[in-house]
Amino acid sequence: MQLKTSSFNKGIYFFNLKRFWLIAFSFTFLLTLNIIDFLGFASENTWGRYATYAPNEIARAIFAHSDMTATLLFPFFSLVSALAVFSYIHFQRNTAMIHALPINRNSLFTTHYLSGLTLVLLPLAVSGVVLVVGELLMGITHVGYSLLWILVSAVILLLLYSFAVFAGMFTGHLAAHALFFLIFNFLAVFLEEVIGTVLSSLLFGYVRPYNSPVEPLSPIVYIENLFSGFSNAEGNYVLVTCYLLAGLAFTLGARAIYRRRHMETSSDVISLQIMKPVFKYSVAFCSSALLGDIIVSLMNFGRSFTVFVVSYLIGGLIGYYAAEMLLRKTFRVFKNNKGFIAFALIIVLLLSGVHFDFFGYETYVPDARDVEIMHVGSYRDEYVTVALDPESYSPEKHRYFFWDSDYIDNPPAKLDENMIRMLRLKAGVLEKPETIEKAVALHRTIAQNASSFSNMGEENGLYHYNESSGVRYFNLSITYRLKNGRIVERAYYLPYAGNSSVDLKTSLQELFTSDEYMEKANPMLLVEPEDLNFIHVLFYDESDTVLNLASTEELEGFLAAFKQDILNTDPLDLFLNYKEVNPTSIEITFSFKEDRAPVIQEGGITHITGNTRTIRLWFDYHHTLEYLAKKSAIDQALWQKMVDY
Amino acid sequence: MIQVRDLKKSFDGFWALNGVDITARRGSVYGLVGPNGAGKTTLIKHLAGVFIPDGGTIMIDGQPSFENIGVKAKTVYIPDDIYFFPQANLLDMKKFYQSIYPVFDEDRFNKLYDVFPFDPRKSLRRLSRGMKKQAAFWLGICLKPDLMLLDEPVDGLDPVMRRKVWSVLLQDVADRNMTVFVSSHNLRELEDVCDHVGIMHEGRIILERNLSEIQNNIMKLQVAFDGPLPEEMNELDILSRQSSGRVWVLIVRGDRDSIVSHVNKLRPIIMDALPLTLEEIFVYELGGMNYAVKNIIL
Repeated sequence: MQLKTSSFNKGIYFFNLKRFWLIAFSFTFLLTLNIIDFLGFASENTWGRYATYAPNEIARAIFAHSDMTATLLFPFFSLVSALAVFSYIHFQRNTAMIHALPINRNSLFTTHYLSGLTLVLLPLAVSGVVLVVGELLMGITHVGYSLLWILVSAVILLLLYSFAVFAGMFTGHLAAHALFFLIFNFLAVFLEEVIGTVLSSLLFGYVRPYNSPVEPLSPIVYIENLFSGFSNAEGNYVLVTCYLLAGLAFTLGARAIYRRRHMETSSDVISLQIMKPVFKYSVAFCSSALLGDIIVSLMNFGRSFTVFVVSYLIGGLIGYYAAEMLLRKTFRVFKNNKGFIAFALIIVLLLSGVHFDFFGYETYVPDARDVEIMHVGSYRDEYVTVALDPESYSPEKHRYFFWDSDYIDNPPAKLDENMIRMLRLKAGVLEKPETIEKAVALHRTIAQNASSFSNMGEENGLYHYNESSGVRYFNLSITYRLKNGRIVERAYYLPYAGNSSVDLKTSLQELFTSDEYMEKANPMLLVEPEDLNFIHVLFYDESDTVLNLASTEELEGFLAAFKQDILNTDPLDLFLNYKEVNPTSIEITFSFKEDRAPVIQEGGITHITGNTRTIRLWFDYHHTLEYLAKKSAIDQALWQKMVDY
Repeated sequence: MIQVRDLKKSFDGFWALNGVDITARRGSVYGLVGPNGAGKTTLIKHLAGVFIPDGGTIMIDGQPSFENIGVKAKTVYIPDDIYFFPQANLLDMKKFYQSIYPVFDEDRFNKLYDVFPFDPRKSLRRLSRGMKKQAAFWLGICLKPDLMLLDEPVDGLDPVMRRKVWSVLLQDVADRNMTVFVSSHNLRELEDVCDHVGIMHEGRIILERNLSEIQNNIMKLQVAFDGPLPEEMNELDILSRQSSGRVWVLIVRGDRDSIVSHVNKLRPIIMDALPLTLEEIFVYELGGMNYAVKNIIL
């Protein structure tokens, strides 16, 4: 009989497959079901009556069709396979039996690792074959996308499985093995959420990053996005390569630990001595963040510094001693408190650092001379993001910018100068130095009075309108693009009136009545009679009366009245949502001469080809209503009914 | 065959093995005795290559045992708490061992059907502790090892089966010069089979002896003289003395014939030279060492 001395043992490998075949079978069954469902979709869109997609788009849709399946099944079966083949390291007697065999540790690891990997990759191979054959039978010859799907899925499975094995090397406990896998997979997004919550609550003006930079570090969370990218022909190949390398690194790391692993640590929560303090303080920190945040939310004490410190320390205390109990396997762990005291000091120091703004985040206001362009508004949307930072434009992500143009199906790869100019016509986008100075002055007033604003928020109970004090809170988002390309962003929740000692009204009004702001917020102010072909007025009376204004005199008369009404409206009331927004039953359509059409649209690039704009007349546009009353022959009663609509 | 020098192992600061020295020659049956927690299982797991030592050396046949496939291929380890794959039966496990060990004696396996009376197709999971032990011996014996490491091997076996198992093992010792290293907390159990015994206590070997030598070298004398115990008796190496009236019970170390001859010259009224049980030998051997000897041996 042959003595197995190589780094692979066929006997153990096939024995493992025989023992754990049910895992591979279940995975194959569920994955193939998903593939069959996709083939049904593909068939419908290839041969169905309403088939509109191109074959390559259908082939590519496998990614979108399997993203949820991948998110649910890949981590689950990766973990189950790792748990199954390496379960012996968590039990003393199993370990003793396996390690007494005439096989060295390297060979044991490699063999068990490969048998587990087979359990997750074999189902993918079977499903992949079904997918390719199914597509070919349907006449979809773009099998490259199917092969790409198999490849990307294989890399994710390799990563998740290798990570599951790696996580198991740090523990001698089956439940802890599963838990570590899940915790480490969600750690990045969890920490981001925790840090975001703390900073948002304690740091005045903090804005969370628009796109999570750490999400790819939590592959389970990111699978959907990754697949979505490939589905939109925007596959992130760099990330897939990184995942592949990470999978290999986890494999090598796991093997290195396994070779040195002390097998007597079976049943211990942590099997590596060096990892015990790491585990203890990590549990304390995560518990501090998670339980602390839950306590803050549940107890409804507000989100002040004191509440955060107390809640986070309680959370940390529970986590720290729970970890001690798990490590020492006893409840008698309360005698040694030095570790917790050190932990508590660090937590208090960190929270103090944020609250007392050690890094000058709250007080920082850019110099107006350094600002290239900025935005002031209630919130920052994607139009603003791209207007300020055109490099952030992504054809797939921002194709909705072009919803009424020819670009909707094939968005341009890059924005041209004209498109960027159009985006920058959006209300709140400021380019002129004099307007930027006013916006910076407003920001400076807010920053200089940060403490009084945040204190007022606490006293009055933030996030609601306080009727007794008459304080109305409003959102203010300020985003700068500096001349060096840096984006600086702040978002505030501020009181407008009431017992505030800081008067924001003057600064706000100075900004909102500036020419640039007014013109962008009200593009009709710049429209002249010669820009228009005609104005079509539709009265929703009993007979849908129509009035056409086409002569220069009529256009001049209407526009003069209309602009007067715009100017009579307090821009601050509009911004703060104070204005009653009751519309009338009168609809007005402006027909523009093509070359002036762009200026009257509200945002985006949709207006490049548009040349009409339709609005409902507001009930407080008295000058316009008076002008229309004179021009129409509608009786007084019906007129009043339409105005009061 | 086995040479362990200054072997050390700690678990979370507790020294389970604290400088163990052992020598067992090829073809011997070495009994390791000690109370629970003495470190017997830890030592055997080191010999089996399961544990990594913190210090010291373990040589088997002149080679280190850890990660040594050659040594492990000739070693069979039967622990007290045996693990078989769930759902597997004896025939499955046989196939498994056949695929891993260089030797598996199929004929022997078939012959052992007579020794171990249970259905090899029955799931091992469903067998009693004793039957699992039988299954382990059945498989282990067929691997024809040079060294058999047995941790509390007969716990759970009925007396008839104990005898059968030992009979097969000792036959291998005689025929193939196999070495058996066996641990137990009960010295009586090993008395009939061991030729070497080591006593372990608190992570150390406190005594290691060749049984035949010490059994020949120590005896119990029951003597009575027509008066007090003669002064000449003190020339003997008396480990213990007790009297009941004129009858003295003496534990004497030395050559049996010369002791008997020496006492006969003193004309005792009665004299009986009795062999000691292994247990008694160790009680007297260790009597002056301040160990809780009775706890170790009983």
